[in-house]
Amino acid sequence: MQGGFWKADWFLGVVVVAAFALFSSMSELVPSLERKAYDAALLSASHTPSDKVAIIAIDKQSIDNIGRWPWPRDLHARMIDLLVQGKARAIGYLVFFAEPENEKINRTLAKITDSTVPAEGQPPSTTFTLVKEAQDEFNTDRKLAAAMQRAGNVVLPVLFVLEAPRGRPDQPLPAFIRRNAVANDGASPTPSSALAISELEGFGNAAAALGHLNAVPDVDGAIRSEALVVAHYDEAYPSLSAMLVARSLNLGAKDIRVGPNVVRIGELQARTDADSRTQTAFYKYSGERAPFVEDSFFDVLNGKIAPEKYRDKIVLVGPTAAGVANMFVTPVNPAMPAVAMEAQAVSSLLQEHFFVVPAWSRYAELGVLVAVALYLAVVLPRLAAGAAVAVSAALLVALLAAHFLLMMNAGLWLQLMAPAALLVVGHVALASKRFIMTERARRDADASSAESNRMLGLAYQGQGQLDLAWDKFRQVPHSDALLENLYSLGLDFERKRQFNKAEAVFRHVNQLQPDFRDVETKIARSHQLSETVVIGGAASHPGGTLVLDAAVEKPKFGRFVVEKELGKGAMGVVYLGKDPKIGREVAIKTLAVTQEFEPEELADVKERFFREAQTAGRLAHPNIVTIYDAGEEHDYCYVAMELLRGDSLARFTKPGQLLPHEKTISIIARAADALGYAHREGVVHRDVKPANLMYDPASDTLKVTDFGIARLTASSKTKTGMVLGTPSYMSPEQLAGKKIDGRSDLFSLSVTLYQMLSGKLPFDGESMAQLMFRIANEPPTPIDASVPPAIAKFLDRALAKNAEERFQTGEHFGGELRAALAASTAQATTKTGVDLEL
Amino acid sequence: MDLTQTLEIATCTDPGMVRSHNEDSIAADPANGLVVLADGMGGYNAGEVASGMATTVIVTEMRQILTNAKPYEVDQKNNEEIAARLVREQVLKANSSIYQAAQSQPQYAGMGTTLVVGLFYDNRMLVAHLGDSRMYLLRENKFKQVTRDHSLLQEQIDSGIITPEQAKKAAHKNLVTKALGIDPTVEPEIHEYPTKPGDIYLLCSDGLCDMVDDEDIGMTLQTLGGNLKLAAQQLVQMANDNGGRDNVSVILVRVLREYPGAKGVIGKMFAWLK
Repeated sequence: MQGGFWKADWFLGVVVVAAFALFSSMSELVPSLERKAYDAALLSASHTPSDKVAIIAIDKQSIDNIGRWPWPRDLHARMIDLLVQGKARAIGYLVFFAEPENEKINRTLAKITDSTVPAEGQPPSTTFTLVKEAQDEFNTDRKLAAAMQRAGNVVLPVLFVLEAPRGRPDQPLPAFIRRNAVANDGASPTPSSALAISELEGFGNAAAALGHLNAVPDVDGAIRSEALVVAHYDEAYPSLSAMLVARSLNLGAKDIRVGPNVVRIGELQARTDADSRTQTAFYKYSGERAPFVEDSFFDVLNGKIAPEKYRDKIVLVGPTAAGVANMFVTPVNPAMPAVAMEAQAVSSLLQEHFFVVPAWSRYAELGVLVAVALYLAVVLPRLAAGAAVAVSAALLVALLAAHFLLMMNAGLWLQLMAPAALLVVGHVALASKRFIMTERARRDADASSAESNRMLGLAYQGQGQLDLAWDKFRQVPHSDALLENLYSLGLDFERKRQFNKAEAVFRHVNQLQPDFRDVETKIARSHQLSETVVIGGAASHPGGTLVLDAAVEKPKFGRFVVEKELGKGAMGVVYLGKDPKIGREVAIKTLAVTQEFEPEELADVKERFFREAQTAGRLAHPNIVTIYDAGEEHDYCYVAMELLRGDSLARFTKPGQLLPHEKTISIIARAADALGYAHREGVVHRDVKPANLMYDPASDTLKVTDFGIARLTASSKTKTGMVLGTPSYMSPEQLAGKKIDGRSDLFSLSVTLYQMLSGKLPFDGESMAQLMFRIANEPPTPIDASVPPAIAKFLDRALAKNAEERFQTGEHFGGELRAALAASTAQATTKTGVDLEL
Repeated sequence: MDLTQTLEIATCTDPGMVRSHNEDSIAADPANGLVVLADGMGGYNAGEVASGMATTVIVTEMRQILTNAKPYEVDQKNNEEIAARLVREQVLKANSSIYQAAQSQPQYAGMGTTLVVGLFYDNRMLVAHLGDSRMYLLRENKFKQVTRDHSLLQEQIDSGIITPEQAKKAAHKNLVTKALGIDPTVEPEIHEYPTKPGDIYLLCSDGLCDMVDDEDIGMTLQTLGGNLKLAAQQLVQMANDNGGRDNVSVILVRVLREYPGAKGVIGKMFAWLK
């Protein structure tokens, strides 16, 4: 494996497991997580508190009414008597009676009685009687002890010092405590070294039993478990709660047996840890309401609460008032008085509501931990990211669910948070590692793909696919070289007159690096142009129009600067251009080839265009328009030619606007000469018609224009549906699609002549088909009578169907035409003469 | 057909000891058995643009085409193998791209690149080249040059004006007679050879063969042929040790096993079993 094993996923898995093990053994984090999970599950469990447990609280109300704590003990005696009267099953009195009350007074009174003891048979002295009464009054301890004795079911607390003893005890425990010792059969309960608080011997003997009240808090200070038994050297002493439960079952210390992981109270079994602790199932508070009602001591004492309420109940009497009571932290209440906690413990014992940490739990926990570690080291690295997340999440959910279900349903507490935490930490570590690795790989890949995108962009730009190039360049992150490329792409878009795209490109450049060259100006300009120019797609006019805006640099065709639009010709728009070098004005005829033609025929069309331009450019004749240049720019092919003054002859073809016959014939004869010259040069016009004959009346000049070029549009596939307008001027052979020569041009010229003389066409038809039929087959409509017969005769020959029968050359045509004119003029003169003679 | 498991490819490119820019560009598409090496020329970063365009265009276009095409088939129309046609077309495409870019963008004016392309398919190897970037072959411990430089020097050697010994000392080593992107069109020299398992093909720019003798290159390949990656690095290192006056680029391809252009299911099965 490349890069060494330390980069491998499994190695990371092992490292994470080891680090986690080390960390969790040194820190409290994981155990506290376990405790939190324990509390959460405990709160989710639904145990009902036992109704056999009652609390009589020495609360604030009682202290306010009775007086400050501690109270005279005869009050307690009265309370016990009351409870006996109410037939309480067992009484847990959670008050330590460790010191005798009124000791000095009692001692003094005893001295007095001793000194005034009446002699035998003597009646007692008044002093003796009074002191004796006082002695009865003040010896409250005796009263309380007597009450306990009478009750026979009072259980009192003691407190042990919970620490492991090192040697032998200073002195044996007093007998009244030792009688509470229980049989220990192999358990190792929490050890204690001495008594912390005991009871007076008198009370100890009077009470039915004594139980320890030691609470064993967890590290976080909360009480979750109860030590059912505390060991004192070789002996074991049960807790107050255990004693109370035993008492309530009419059992005694002899009936409590401690075994490994179990404490038996008669037939009742409490499953415990190895150290005889149970995980108490704390009963929830519903809102502010405690699970056990706490009756006020005062209310019971003065009869407000009848003692009968406590019939057959285990009554716990103890302080809850602040300052008097000991408060404990528990999962259900952060400040729970000892008496309430004891009530929880008793109820939990009584109903056997425990959470148990089973003996096998450690193995199970370890097993799960190892399984998770194996998953991290072996399985996870082999999973894809998505599957890994899914599997890890499922495992996590399974662990949590196992924890909760075991706690809530089986009462088993397995510490599964450690594996869960390991799972999360391990997964995150592995995922992070992968992310870092892939990010590094991606950065490398990004860099190389950025470069190849730039190269592809350049390639596309070179191939003229600007949109694709733009697409590629956009994926490249900022670099100086990229800016250059983008800038030049923007210029290319401008050249193609795609100003909106140019603007987008320049804006992109500006975004990457503001003030790059003159990009601001370029943006403004492109923006302006993109809003004003209508160019582009097939939807626009086939000619396309370059809008000319004075504020903007003038567009150019080749070296010619476009000045303004002159009009729309057969092929496309005609512009007035200017050669900036020599100041000559030219007409620029354009053909939007990319819009007119399919891409596949484009090359062919362009080639033909330039071939035609070339042949036309060869012609140098005073009556033929001079071609200066031809070229290709912004999707257009263009021809720059001599700028002509005047109009086309189309203006003079309507009746009423006709030129005089002599003028017409002179013009047509000149056109015939020009055509004759062109034919000799091997150039056929193909589209002779009035619109292509330019005449300037001011200088009386005629120029034949548009040699050959018109044919291009006719061949455009996109235009097949439209053909060429009306073929009124076409020769029969041209209509038939035969190969044509100069004689066809002369036929067309004759049609023009006919029209200019008469204002009508020689062939006319309702429909295209009819028109074509007539041109091909029928003689021309007899011409207007005003036309001299010599001319009419000339036209008959010139419009012959068979090319052989027509005038064969332009010169011949011109000569004959001029001759016909001369003849008719002469005839007219003679006629006039004759008329005059008449 | 995925050749990733059939061909072992190692590449290495380095600007050398003298130049700051690496105008060489290399690319490999192991799945399609395509390796491309180009050595650009032209000022101010233009050389690396030319070579970069060449490799990128060829690899990108070929990758697209090869996913559907079967290079071993023969075009019915002109009896030309599809592979040769594809390579020629893509070389021409790259040529016109570079040429157009050089024409239209002043900063790239005059840029161009040499090129050597190797396409492995159907137990064969097709090599197309332009200029003085070379392909060598090490087969059964014999090391020989596969391509023939399009350089003035080579032509002089061919016509007998100078001997190969004189050629080593010649001054005009770097004058190439053909290159990509210089003219509107170009005709790459294309040949096709059968391959054998164990063959090691070396594609390199003149930065390697000008600096290191062919014998030394051959010896290195024989010695380190077991570890192509190391061999490629070692060749570049040798060129740099000898002065490294030019960019050095090396692509090594080892044929691990047969890779017939599978015909039908059984053929594929056989190929898979091998």
